[in-house]
Amino acid sequence: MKRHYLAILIFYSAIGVYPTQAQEPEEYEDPFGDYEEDWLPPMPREANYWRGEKKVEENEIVVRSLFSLAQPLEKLPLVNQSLTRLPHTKSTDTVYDVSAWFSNCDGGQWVYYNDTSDYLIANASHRLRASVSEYAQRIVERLPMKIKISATYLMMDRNVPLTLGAIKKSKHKKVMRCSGVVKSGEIMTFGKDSQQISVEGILSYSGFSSVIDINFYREGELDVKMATSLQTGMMKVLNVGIAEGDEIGVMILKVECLDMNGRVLREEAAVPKMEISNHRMIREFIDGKEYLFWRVKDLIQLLDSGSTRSEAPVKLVVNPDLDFFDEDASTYDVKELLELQGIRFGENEWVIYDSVTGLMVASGGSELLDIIEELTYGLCVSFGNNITTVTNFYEVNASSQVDGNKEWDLLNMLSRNPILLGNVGYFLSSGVKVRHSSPEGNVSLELTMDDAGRMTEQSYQMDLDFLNRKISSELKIYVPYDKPIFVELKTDPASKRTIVMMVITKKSRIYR
Amino acid sequence: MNYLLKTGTLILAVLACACSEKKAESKPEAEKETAIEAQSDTVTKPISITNDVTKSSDSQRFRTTAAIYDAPALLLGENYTSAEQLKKATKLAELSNITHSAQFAKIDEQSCVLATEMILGENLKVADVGVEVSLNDMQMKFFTTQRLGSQGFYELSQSGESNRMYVVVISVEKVESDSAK
Repeated sequence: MKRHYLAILIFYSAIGVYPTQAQEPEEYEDPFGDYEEDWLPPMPREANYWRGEKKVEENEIVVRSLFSLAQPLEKLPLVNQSLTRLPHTKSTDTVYDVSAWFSNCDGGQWVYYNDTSDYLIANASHRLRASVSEYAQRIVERLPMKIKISATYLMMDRNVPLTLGAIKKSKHKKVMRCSGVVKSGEIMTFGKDSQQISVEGILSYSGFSSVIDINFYREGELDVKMATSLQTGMMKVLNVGIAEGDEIGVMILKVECLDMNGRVLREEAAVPKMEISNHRMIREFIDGKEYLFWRVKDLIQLLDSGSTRSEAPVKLVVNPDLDFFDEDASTYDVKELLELQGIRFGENEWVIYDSVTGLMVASGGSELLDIIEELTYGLCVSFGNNITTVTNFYEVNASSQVDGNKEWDLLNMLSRNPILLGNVGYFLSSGVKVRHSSPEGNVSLELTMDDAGRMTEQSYQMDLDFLNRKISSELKIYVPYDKPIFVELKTDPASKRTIVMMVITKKSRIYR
Repeated sequence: MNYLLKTGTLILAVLACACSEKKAESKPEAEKETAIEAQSDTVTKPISITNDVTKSSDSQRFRTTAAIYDAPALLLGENYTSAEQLKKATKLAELSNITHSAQFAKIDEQSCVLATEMILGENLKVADVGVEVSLNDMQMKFFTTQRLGSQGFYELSQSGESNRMYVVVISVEKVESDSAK
């Protein structure tokens, strides 16, 4: 009997084990690695610091404005405010002592967090100050941002310059206007079916740029679309839509990045004291020394993106003693990071990067700055672009047999008694198709950029009627930047007049 | 004598003319006052609706309010960003939904609609808010993130001819519980 049970047991084990082994799932590693670290709230850590030239030995009050802390605060000790007077703090505020979080907070130093006014306040020496600044920086990077979009569409005379000041002084006709604050990636709609504005904005991770999709629609009158990337914090005045004769359609567009307190982030006010262009790299001699200035967001991540290191080899710089940076700047010595790119620094040559404003300043010999300039260009070309294209339609005297083969150019046009029939403006990105409609007709443009970034391929579908001249055409043309291109569309044999389209395309770079 | 008579007549005529002009000036002033009084009598009060869908007095209730204004159009490039700027505006309606977090609520009257759903964030300081608000020919639909106690400003000008615009101010705040009071 015992043998019988044993046999059954062996049999069941055999048939039981085999299928179990066969069904055991294979173990796959998470392709994104250990994701938990990304989800955990950042905790303070001892910052790797480099003191710079200015000596700060004594403790000072450090104040950092935050929106909230990600960690639970309830179990932390409360600060007795009757014993201390803190900046940005009222007697009714709730203030927690978060000193225990900072391993280098000792010897009478302290770090408090005002949970009412959202200020991190510390009494700190340079070592602790570095840790507080670094921690605040990491907290701010994780806080949510909102996107504020303001758009106004108007019609005005084509001779008025496309600047806000000039438009304000000019006679113009406002058509539609909207403004609002939304969560990134959400659509905002204004108005009802017969007249509607829809606006969508997606903020980049850094908040320095956004992808915008806008549609202004009024039944039978207007349909204007825009789809492109934009730099946040900047106002754009653009020739967009269909207009007849000497009028043009103008869109005034502003996209801002706001924090949860409604403060505008990434604005020009954050630019350091020296007037440094926000959108390009410049080299300048100041007091006999040559400097290279470059504004780029996420430089450290950009340069260190391919590495497997847990932390980039950069040093936090306390008081770099350079007038280029604000007091609140989070400055890093990124020399080692650039050395890893093959750039060699000599004595008294340095490079400092402020991660708040995205300003990099390098100082050294011309050879070093040449190499850094080359590197900045290499990193820049991968950034986005937006494109403005304007097509003006002229009626001119038809070519005679003598000059029939002559290429169209501006002088040729002017010598043929030109009449401006109308124009269409577009604002878009590469690979995007936009359509406009008005009582003058419909148009669509699909545009792609070439890999070298020198030319665009533009596919038009036009069905327009400007001043009783019908223009129906489908065409594909190659247009370089900043140079007018002329396309002969049709000639009326009776009037011996030809309709010519002049295309001007411009490109501007977007910094993420 | 004849000369004196003529001069006297002329002076009297000038004086009479001046008096009649003064009367003419003062008359419209009086009419204006009456007109203002009449106007103030006819000024309609803003629509005010509060819709409490919680039917409770616990501490986790939130009020999402849309205040709708008829406001002067601002200069190009400018926006309404504070309640202070709306002093010269006319409040047309104030619509409020009182809800729990993640609770939908809708006011649907003949002329106005406010549909909201607010979801409180983990840090208890911000809320994701979905809003549909409409009044007469004005309508707005959006989804935003807002700090409790703060205000969000939304503008719409649909007619190019008008110097007025709609401004909608959205606010989300915690409703104090009865026991807390």
